[in-house]
Amino acid sequence: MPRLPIVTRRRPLRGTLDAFLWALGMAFALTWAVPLVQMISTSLKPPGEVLTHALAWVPVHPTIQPYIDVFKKPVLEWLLNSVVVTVTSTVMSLITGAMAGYALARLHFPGRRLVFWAVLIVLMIPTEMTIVPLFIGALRTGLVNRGLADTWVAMIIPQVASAFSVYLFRNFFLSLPVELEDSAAIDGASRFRIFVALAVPLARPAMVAASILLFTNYWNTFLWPLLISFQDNMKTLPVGMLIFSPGGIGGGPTDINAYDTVMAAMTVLSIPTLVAFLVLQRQFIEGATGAGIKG
Amino acid sequence: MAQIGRFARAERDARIRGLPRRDLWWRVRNARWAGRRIDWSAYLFLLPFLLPFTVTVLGAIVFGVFVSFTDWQIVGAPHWVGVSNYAQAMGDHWVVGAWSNTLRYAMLYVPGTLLVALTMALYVNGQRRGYVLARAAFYMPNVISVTVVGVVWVWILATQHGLLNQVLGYFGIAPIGWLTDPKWVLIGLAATSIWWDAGFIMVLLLAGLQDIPKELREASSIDGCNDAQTLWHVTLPLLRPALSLSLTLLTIAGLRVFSQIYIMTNGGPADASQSVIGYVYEMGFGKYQLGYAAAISMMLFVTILIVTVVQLRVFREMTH
Amino acid sequence: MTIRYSRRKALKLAGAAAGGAVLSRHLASPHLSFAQGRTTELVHWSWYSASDNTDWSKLIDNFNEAHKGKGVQIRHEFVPDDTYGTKLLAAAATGNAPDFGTAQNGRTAQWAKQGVTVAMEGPLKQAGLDLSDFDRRSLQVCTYYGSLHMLPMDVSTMAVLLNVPYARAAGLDVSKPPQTAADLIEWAQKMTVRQGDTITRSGWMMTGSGALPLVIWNVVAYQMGFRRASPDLKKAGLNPTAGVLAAQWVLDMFDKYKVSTRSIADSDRYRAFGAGAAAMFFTGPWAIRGYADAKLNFISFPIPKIGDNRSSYYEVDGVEMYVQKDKGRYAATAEALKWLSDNSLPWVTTGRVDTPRKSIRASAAFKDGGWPAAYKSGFLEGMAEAQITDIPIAAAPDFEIYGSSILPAKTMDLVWSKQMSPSAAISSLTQKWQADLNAG
Repeated sequence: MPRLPIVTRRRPLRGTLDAFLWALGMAFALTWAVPLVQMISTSLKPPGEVLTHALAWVPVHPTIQPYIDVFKKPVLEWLLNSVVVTVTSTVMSLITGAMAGYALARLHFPGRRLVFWAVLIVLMIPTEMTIVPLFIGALRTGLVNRGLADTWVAMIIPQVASAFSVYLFRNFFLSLPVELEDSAAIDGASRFRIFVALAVPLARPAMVAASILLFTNYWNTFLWPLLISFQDNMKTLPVGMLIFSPGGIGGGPTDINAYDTVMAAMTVLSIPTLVAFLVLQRQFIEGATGAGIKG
Repeated sequence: MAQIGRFARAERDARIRGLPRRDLWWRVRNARWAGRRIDWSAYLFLLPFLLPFTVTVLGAIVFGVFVSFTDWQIVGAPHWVGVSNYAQAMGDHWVVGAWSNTLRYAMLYVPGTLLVALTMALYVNGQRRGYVLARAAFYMPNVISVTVVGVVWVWILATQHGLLNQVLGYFGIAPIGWLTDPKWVLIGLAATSIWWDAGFIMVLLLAGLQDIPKELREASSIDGCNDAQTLWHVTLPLLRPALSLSLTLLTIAGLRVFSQIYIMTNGGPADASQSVIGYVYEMGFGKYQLGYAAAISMMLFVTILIVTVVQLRVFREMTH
Repeated sequence: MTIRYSRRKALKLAGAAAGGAVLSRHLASPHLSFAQGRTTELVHWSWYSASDNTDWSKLIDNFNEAHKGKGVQIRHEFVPDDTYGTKLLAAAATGNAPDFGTAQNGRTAQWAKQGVTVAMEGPLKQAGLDLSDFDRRSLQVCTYYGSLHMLPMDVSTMAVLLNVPYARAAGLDVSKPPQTAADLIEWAQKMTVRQGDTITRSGWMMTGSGALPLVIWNVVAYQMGFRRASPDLKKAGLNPTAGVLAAQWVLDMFDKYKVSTRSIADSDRYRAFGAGAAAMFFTGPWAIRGYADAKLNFISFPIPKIGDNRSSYYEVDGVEMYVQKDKGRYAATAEALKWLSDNSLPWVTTGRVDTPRKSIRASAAFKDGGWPAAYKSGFLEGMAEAQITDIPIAAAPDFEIYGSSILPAKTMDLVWSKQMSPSAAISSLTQKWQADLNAG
């Protein structure tokens, strides 16, 4: 029986029950998007409407005033800091993680189990415990409160070595067949050549998956940049946006009509990762499910 | 080149003379460990990771462990106080409360997320019309920062005029204090975390599902099994490795929960949502009792370690 | 080849642009000119957020404007209050502390003990600030371990905000606000709206936990005669029966009179009043701007007499100076603080509503400036009876009367949620307080 290629991608619906389950699933997916829709809709409401039409999906009188208020702060500088710190940290973690993961998966050396266990244990350590010692260390080295470049360095350094990245790449390389590399080794290629020429190209799906996971993780990192940034122009976006936070987060008294501005700030904060994800989502999920993150 | 030449010459000499005239270089290069030649290059591969890792991660942890045995308050030198921080934590009823909250939260969050994520993964894996969209919608919350998650969900779960209670109101259900009633608050928080994390676990499970050969499931349906039976007898057992990893990650995340609670309820009402890390934060950042905070973190870490190892063992035995 | 070249060129351009932006920022920053020895740059941290931040920043901007080219500028950095202490202590421990920061009376007494904050009388007097122009009480509550460690910038109390349309709709005369507990309960009952058993509008707002029921309990208990500590700071928990009675009064507002609902979250209280979920809200002058901007129709009145008198909450906000390696900086800081205090009019009329300085209070600009009388009169009248405040000892946070996730709030929360009896909670607090007082 000949099959049309399109049918192989999407299974047709069979019968009423299947159609019902399909509709239920789509409704479920829509529900999942509601909170973000709510956020964006509120960010476009004038102050009066935030209080009176809190649940209206579409603002009655849409306004971009909340965004104008948000951009009165040095949002573009925070964005630049976030981009520099996040991109550098992600790239460094990918490099160090892929190399270390490769060594743990493929190479035979004393201390292999020790390093692997150290990586596993670090994955379980609550970071809140290590952050103050780290902060004191950064202050002692004098990296702090000098200039922008120093602050970038101070923000990036603790994110260069990601245990998560190592764990991910180790598992990925373990899932690859070893034969190809073995034959290359017999042909006399050095380990480094094998890594660069054979292993890394094969690791593309893992790279995509890891880079999205690391990118969102670093983008949203909060406590460390909060401690380490001193001047307004040195903050990352999530830290800078604290100035718009109501009650609980930044603490202290608050003014009620800031809620529209808060939601505008939250939208600005979410857009970079949301866009990155939506653009790369197919490669990401297929990369991740294809060969990336497995036990 | 010269070294390789020297090495080859030494080897040849040794062969000709039948004598073990192996120089140091040869011995290092051919050193064996656990029956196989050591890949010395491994250390070069590890260096870029291990150097910063040792300084910023391991160093900080070692210092943290040290601090847990002192009375350090940031200003001034730390004084050794032995295990008194640990002893104090054992008798602190706020610590006991935080542990109980954390465990109850984890008991809601871990199975809840796993169940939701499994449903999502099975649905998306069916590859029906629109599955790419559904997949994106399911995963999207995972790229949002915790600040955004907290602020938005405080709105949704508000007792008065909150979205969820309004919807429930249509069905005649009286408003529920998702974040204001001590009896409900952990459920409200777990719901938020499930929304935030289920997409990630879905991807893990999708990876597992795609490893299951289609033929196996097709064979099972030909054998007269309905979808539910196929799921129970074929899919789930084969999904065990992915489920095991998910369970481990979820347990770690559940026991370490902090940021979303901090933003949404700050441990309230009446301390009913104070987590262990929340209390660590309160002691460390609120009262500057770094030693005490470190001791409580260490106790949590040991618990996580034990639970993880036990879980992995149990699953390994189930698989074999 | 051409593609690679152009891409590299583009990267170079982008790099140059970014670098230029960074560089120009630095060239423009006063930090660099400090290095050239022309301008002293004072570093100031504040934890004021939201509208407080707007008003406070204005004051600092005024200073910088007035001192352009005069050799001193203030660099204002916002440090959220939940990490403020950790960051400050770490900075002080490594010799990087800012010159001065915002503070609330009593709360940082421990830092005075640890030598993180410095005694201020000397530098301030040298700068020519006349401390006799300040209310004595405002200076008293900022004196820890025998010397002044904080310069008061404003004084405030908490008062009741009343939603005028709700009161009118209930047939109440807003020109004669409640004076006694009975009045208050009557007003609250008339303005409460219920749907079945559910309160949809609180006549008298109290959150189910956290800062608001804690401060109300503290005020009522004080009025009834309860004291957290004796005046000489020797004995804790005086007259505990009054404390229990006050706790019962708070519980009755929830359960007997049913004019308050526990379903409003601690962090949601400001929004709830603005959104009309409550008719009366006990709060501070910092809340005025938000409701004024949202054009809410409200007035303020002092807390009624619920116990034996109308005692109310008292708070002093100000600035403290931090320890420096270069002691020479203290003089410049003190001079700047003198200017900020002398020119604090915008802050004490719109950011807050009252000043510790007699000369400012006597000025016409103070009387006519700032918010309309309807908004601020309750706070200004209430100042006469404002006296319940934080206790300036190292363990001050254990005594705080207004805050959430502090020991008193966490303990009394158990009472409000009926997991502990008032007397058990008060005796548990008293035990801790006594230990704190003994430690000094």
